[in-house]
Amino acid sequence: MNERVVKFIEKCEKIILKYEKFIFFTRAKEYQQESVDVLEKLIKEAGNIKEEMIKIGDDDSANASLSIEENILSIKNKFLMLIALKNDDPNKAWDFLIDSQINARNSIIAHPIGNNLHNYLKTLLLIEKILFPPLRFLSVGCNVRRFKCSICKGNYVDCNHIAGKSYMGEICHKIIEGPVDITEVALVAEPASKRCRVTSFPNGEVNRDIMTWKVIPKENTEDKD
Amino acid sequence: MAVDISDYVNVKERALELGCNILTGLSILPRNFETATKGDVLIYESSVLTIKKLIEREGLEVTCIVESGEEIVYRVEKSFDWIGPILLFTAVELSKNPEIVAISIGVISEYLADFFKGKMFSGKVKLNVVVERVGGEIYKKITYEGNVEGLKEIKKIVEKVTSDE
Repeated sequence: MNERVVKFIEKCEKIILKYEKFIFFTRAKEYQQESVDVLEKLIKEAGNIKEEMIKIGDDDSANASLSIEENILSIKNKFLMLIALKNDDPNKAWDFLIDSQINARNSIIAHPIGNNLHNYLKTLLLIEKILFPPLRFLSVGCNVRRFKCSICKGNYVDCNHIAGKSYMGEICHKIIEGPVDITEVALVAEPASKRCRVTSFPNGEVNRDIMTWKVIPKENTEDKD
Repeated sequence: MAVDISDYVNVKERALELGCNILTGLSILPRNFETATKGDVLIYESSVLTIKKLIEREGLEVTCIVESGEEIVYRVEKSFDWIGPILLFTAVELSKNPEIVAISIGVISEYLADFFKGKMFSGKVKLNVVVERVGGEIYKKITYEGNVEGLKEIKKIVEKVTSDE
């Protein structure tokens, strides 16, 4: 691995060690916000190093940089979740938690240095179960005719890339292109994306927000012409 | 782990009825192969694209049967589980290359080990394998639902299905 990346990993470990004492719910919000500000600078630096590795064609180091970047992003989003909860915005907090999970998973996929995040991911799952009410998610089924590769932007059928693998600092995805025929929408307990969820429910003559139980004002729920 | 073995339609006859390409090598069947009528759109699980690439990297030829001249349509299901394509192993292919099942399932298992990496739970794997018995008239479908580790049992099940009277 490129020496620059190795040194950056050491720097990140020191900084994370310094700020991880603030990642508990009870810690003061201002320290958590300060942690977010520090991590944002680190994320930018990780991105710059990744670009350098891409320029010199070092696939392994570029993927390692991506893994670190996603790792730090995950921690930052966890801090943002805590801040959102303290700001009495659990819907935003949920989105930050899911982003944190996605980032952690990306870090694991991108490069073997991310493999130490498995236990950390388990704690993010525990947070889901302990802090948030049981939720219901939506899963969509659809017919598609074409996928674009996120790496080479070509037709995924014809290229050599594999979805889920990392290439020069980027994880390959199949991007749906063209017309889509929705065939079904299902309510599921374990979806592909936990951002796709039921957000409110009817309760007598009112609608309530599932997270907060608060009544949703009528003007927010009526269809707008 | 749940494995079900059932009778399947005569693939050659069905392919002729539907006006599909002739089957060569390891083939992948559309999910509605049994029930489609001529003119219906044939639909594949979206996982077929990745699995086809991975198996071809092992030097095996993989064909998707499709009505001549028609484009392929893929079903995307945004669920936690992994739904695999329907793999067809013809009698000719099994006798030409006895390791073809092990290689194909090995490729899928290795891919899925990475696919489920970092996911909180290990989602279910759903995979259908259709096997042509020697003689060409009888086809059996093996429906597998379980975890990644259990996929290695499919090779033994295929051997049993092809050798049973």
